[in-house]
Amino acid sequence: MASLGSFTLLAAFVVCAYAVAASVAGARRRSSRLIESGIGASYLVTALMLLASAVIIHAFVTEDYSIRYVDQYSDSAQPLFYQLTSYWGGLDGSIMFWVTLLAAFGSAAVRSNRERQRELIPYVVAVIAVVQMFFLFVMIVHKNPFATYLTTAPLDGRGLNPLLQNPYMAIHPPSLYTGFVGMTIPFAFGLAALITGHLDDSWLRAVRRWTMMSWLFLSLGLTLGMIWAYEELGWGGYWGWDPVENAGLLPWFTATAFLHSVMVQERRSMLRVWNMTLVIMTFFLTIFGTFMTRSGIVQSVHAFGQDIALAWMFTVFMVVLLVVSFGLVIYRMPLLRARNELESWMSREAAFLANNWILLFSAVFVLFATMFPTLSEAVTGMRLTVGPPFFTKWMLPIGLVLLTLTGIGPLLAWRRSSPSNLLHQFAWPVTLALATGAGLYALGFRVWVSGLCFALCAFVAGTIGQEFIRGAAVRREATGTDLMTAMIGLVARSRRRYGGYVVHVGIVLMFLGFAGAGYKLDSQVLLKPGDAHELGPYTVRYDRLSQNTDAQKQMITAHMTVMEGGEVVGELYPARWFFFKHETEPTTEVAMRRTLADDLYVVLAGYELSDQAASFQITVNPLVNWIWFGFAVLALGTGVALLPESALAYAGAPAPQGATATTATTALLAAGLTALAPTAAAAQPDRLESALQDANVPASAMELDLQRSLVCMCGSPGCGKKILAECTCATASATREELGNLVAEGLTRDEVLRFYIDKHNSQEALAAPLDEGFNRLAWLFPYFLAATGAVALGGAVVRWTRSGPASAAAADGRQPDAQRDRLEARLDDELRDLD
Amino acid sequence: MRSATGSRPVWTTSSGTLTSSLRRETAQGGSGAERSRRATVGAGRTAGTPEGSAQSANGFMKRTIGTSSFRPWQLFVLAALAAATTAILVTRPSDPVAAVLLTLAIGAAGFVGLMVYRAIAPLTQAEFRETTAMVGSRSRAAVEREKTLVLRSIKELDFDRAMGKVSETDFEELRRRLRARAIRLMKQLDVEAVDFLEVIERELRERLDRSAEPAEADAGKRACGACRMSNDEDARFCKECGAELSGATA
Repeated sequence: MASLGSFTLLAAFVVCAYAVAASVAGARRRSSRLIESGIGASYLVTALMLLASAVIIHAFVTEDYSIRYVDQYSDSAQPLFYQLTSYWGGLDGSIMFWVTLLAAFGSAAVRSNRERQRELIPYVVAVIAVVQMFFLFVMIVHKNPFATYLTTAPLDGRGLNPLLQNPYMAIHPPSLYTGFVGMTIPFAFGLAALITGHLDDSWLRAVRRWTMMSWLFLSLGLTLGMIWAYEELGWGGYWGWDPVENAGLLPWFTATAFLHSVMVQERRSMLRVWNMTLVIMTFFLTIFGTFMTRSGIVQSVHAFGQDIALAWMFTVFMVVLLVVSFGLVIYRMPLLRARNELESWMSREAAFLANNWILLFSAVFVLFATMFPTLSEAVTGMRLTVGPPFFTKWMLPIGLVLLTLTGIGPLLAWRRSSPSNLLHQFAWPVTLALATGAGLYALGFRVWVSGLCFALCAFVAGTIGQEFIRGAAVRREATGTDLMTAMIGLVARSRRRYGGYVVHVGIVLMFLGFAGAGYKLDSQVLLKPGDAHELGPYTVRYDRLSQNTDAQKQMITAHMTVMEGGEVVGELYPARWFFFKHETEPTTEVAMRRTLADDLYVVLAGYELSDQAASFQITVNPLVNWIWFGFAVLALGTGVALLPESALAYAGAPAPQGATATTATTALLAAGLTALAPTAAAAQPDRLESALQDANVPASAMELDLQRSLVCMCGSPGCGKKILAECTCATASATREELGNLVAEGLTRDEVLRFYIDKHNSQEALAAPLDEGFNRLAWLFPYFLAATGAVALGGAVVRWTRSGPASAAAADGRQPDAQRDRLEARLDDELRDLD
Repeated sequence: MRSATGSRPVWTTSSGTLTSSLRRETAQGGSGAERSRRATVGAGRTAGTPEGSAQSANGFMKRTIGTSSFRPWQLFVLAALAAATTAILVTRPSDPVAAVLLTLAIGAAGFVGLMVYRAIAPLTQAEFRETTAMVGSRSRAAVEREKTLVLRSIKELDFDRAMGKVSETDFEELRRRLRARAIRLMKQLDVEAVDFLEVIERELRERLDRSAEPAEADAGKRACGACRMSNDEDARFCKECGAELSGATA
């Protein structure tokens, strides 16, 4: 079977090469036969990759450990579900999975566009095939998932990393890959448009849907990653600015920017070069993200490890990619010139420009901050950490500005908004925002960032509500139906616009969740059976500790009772699992009590079997579940926007095409929301060594601040340099104790930081590098970036506005004639028919 | 335009619709605007819809086998099923999941075979027909779609004005520009549609002529009451059966 797999990959490579040759030759010689054959070849690659996938999954299920990849990522005790998902659990398989997805997507895109985009298709096929060839090449020469052991095969596999044995982790990578891979399709169409010179808006229309769908999957992947981090890593948060998470976020920023700026091109024929650049950058960032996580160039919770050969292959590919793409953009520059100009800052296109600028700033900033440790190591030879404090310093205000723009954009008109327009549009939402802010202040909420965020959420919700209500009113006047029918008709008619608004509602809900983090409470406690601890509205009582074993692992489970206002409201079972094949990396099984208002989140940090004492990290996360709800709404909105033209033409009520995906997501999220970590409890004598760590509750504000300024340096994959205050591993606990002693000795903040720099002989233990020497660059870069962006944006705007409105009124001044009248009448006719 | 996006006609159906609509118009007259609109709708149906592509792909599969109802994919499905059965019988896997996966792998192999055929067939096939209708350098469908988009933009602009988002002057200017663009596209489509129309009209005329011919010829002839043979006007006896033609005597 292994040789069949290898042969299939080789065959796929050859067929890709043929697809490129046939398509390009066919396009050059205008031979439909060759083009058709090239299309056939691209389908054939899909078929071959499906075959290869079937072979590797078969090997996993039949436990064929002579294949190295199967041996490394599976074992006989693993449940069937994880045996299947092990396919993409490792580097080699994930590349193969990537190619399979790309082939399938490419075929689907080619098939649906082969008639409409006749002139582009051969080059689309060629570009997709070239990308496939790169990944196939990587697999064939370096990372063949079908590589076998030369000596005798092992009897049992080593098993999938226990951290990845989680339902979210099983579907998080495929969803993220789907998003990543989907971005190849817009890139292929964009490049084909550049090559052929057919640079009108038709290629954009072909790719808009694909971008939207990929964007949805990317969002789903990121959300699932957040849920996974929240539930599995056990540090009480969901986003730790880990390089691998960031890798997924980078193309998300540029894709979001593209989805917005594409509207400017459609409506105003502006930003053509910019859109092309965004498509290319999005694709580049997907490849770069893959490079980052797979070459070991950055350290991360779930990077795949160091691989210099792979790093070189990716580097060469990325350089070629950039040179060819931007070379083509420059070559086609004359065809890409904007046909219109920016007329006012108070216009929707200006809002989109600002949105693009900020999103791009976010992408470049995150990229820079993620790469800075590598850069610093290359320049100064010193490895350091750029952690959450550094990211939040910038991403917090950026997030708020983006949220504000989300509200402002829809209210502005294209071209220009007059002052009376502005007053008419902004009065209600602004009032709502102010009322919310004042109300919160009056109620005693004093975390200003969160308060501002809540007020902005109210503002955006107000604008969206106003859009729906006013739109429905206008439509009701026109059609004479009731308000609800008018609302449905409204959404049915402009699915993209109103679907987009629904997506914005989702974003607002997510921001509610983010803002809730401002009111987060946490504490670390050491409890004996019968002890209770109070945190926020909850009292948690620790009852007992139990342990049991199954085929894969041993489980230590704490039994706790949750009380609210003196009444028992539930039980929690935080646990630690020791997988037999990965005993040094126990997994943290978080116990949660989920409500819409907050999550009570309990982690078993350490325990002593002899006297049943255990230390816990207890967190109350307000509003966190709104993030997942927000995503469900976002998916719903994208589904509405993705509906095909004909879906609602005859149906009276909307029947979402994306319903399956959406309901699946909702079901998934609902399942996630109701699931508490359930663990069977049966006391058994056990051989596990005790692993009690003293709970160290920070004695002062400075100590807490220091715990948040340092990261855990244990180096285990489960920790991945978590903030010291949040990490639950033994090393972190010991460090916290050491830190407590240092503070007790009377050391100042700087002295403590110095102590850790000296201890590790680098700034790696610091969550953010000190603002000195080369590292000053890290702190200065965002300012520099923002300034450059602002200057570039200003320059572009000045140039556009200077070109003058002279060209605007041209081309339409023809004299009316009989034929024209006839056409005008026909146009009116058709407009009447078009709902 | 609703029919262009909503309905799923195939080539023959749509030209049939077009022909019948033309015939109706020939019979009933109808305004010029109405007539050309219907013609455009009909023409819009013919080309470039995704169904067109699906049809051409199927058509190309059909053509290679000729008139027989057997299709290439059926051959590969049968082969894959046979291979899967054999493989299961030979290996007798104990685990049902393994059996399912083996079958899927063989199914994928069958798919590979079909796609090899799909890649080679266009090169070896004797007749290969271009199916996409073109308007200048662009496919007809692309122009059609652009027109729909411009029409939608006009609608949206009307809506924006009703929502109080555009000033009156901007509205007028934008609307004028969009309408001009829509009309330019309609003209572009009409140029093509005229040729298309001519072909159909010519065919229609020919058919009508052909069906009219015998009637006209019969008008001056007489049919035999016994054998229905048509005879010359002045004949007294049928040239076929020899019976006396009644009208002649009268």
